[in-house]
Amino acid sequence: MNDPYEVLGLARGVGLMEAERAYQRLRELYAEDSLATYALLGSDERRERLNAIEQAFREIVATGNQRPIAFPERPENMSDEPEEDGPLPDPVQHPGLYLGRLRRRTGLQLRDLAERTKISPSKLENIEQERLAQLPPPVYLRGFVLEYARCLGVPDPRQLAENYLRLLAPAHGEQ
Amino acid sequence: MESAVLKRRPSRVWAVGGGKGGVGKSAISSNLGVALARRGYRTVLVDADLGGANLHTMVGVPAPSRSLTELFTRAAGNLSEVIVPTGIPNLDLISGAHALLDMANPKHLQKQKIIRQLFTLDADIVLLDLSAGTSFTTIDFFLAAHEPIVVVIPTPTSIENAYHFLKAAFYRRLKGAIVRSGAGPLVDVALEQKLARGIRSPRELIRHITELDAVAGAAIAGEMTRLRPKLIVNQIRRQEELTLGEQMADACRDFFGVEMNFLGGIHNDDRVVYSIQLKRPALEAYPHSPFAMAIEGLALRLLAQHKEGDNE
Repeated sequence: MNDPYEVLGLARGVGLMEAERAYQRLRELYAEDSLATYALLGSDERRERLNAIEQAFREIVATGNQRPIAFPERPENMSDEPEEDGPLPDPVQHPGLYLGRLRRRTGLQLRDLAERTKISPSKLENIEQERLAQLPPPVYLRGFVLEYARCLGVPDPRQLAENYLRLLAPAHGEQ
Repeated sequence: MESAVLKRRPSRVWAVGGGKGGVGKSAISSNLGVALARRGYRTVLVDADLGGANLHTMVGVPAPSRSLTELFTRAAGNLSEVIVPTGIPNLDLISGAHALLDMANPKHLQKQKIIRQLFTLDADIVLLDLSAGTSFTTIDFFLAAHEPIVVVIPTPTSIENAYHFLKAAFYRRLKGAIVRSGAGPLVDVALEQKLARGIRSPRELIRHITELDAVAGAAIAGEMTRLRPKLIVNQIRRQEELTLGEQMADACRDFFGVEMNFLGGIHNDDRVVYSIQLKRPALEAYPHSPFAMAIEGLALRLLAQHKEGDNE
């Protein structure tokens, strides 16, 4: 099976966001400790499957320089932030930076997102910049991050919120 | 060319299986039966667990006077003769009780006859409670059903058995499809080249057969896509386990190339055990329990698909 879209179970030429969602979903599905695929494959088969998924996604990222199709193109002159082409930050290490990069990549501005999430732009910016000292208490923060991630169509918003709270834990411990 | 006699709507057969014992197949099928009967569907519950039948107890029929046994001992010639009422309006039972020890694997012809008769019972829905395990009988009942339903619980053992069961069902159907397509020798080649070609899953195997012979491949693939099992996740105890159903459906699509429809989850509910102790269906003993509500929801979902099925 050589077509990377087929490997990820996608229609050919879908947007990068959708490909990433499928990639994350499959990676989780075939993870070593995944209950949902327990005993479905041997450990060699599992590794091979994971490799194929990894390769397929890389190929899609490398060849598809298309913009994500989930969001409309914005006129160039409305952009007040620089274009970024590098890889996305690690969502585990830097969930805030990850969200920020993803938002800019999709062409949304903070105020667009504030409008959709009903969370103020300054709060959203603090979340993106991971300004831990200025963040609301975890119980609110969790909700904000979830909402932000959902609005952007992040593959697993709950996981991302978990990642974010983990970021916070050591900072609180130090205080 | 249809004659007036044949216009009677044929019964639809639903089969509840899943490989592992103790995952709640009998509790689910008996209560589904009650839910359907209450909605006015003439339903026949069939205890196809020939080794250890006890569906009758679940619906409060202490000692059924007739059972499937008679078909094998030839005391009865037809399945419809061994139907007993349950006392619940619209709900009848074919018990597997008093099963003989050697009956779990009946003769092929007998089995085929019973399967044929299941489809012509005078009922709206025939609901089969399959036995645990992956015997040919169980797999054949499962594959013959209009609605094959798999029940799992969120434990590695249950999921392992469910995949074992699905693999057995998949390959049994595939074998039949290959024979009917006339592509036998071709598939032998494909299977021989399986490892060399990097074929790792049934989905890839079918794709490979299609590359070798487009016509046979399409016929086989067509037959395999008609295998659309449904999934119920029972005894959910933790929130995370709610995602299991969708994930298993994903795995089925990705690995087998089979669309498995996740019907829904049922939270763990001790009242199921209490109701069995009372020898009454949970829907009657505890009509407002989470289990009863979940069963009602599943019945509605299955009925919606049942109606779609009529238009096929």
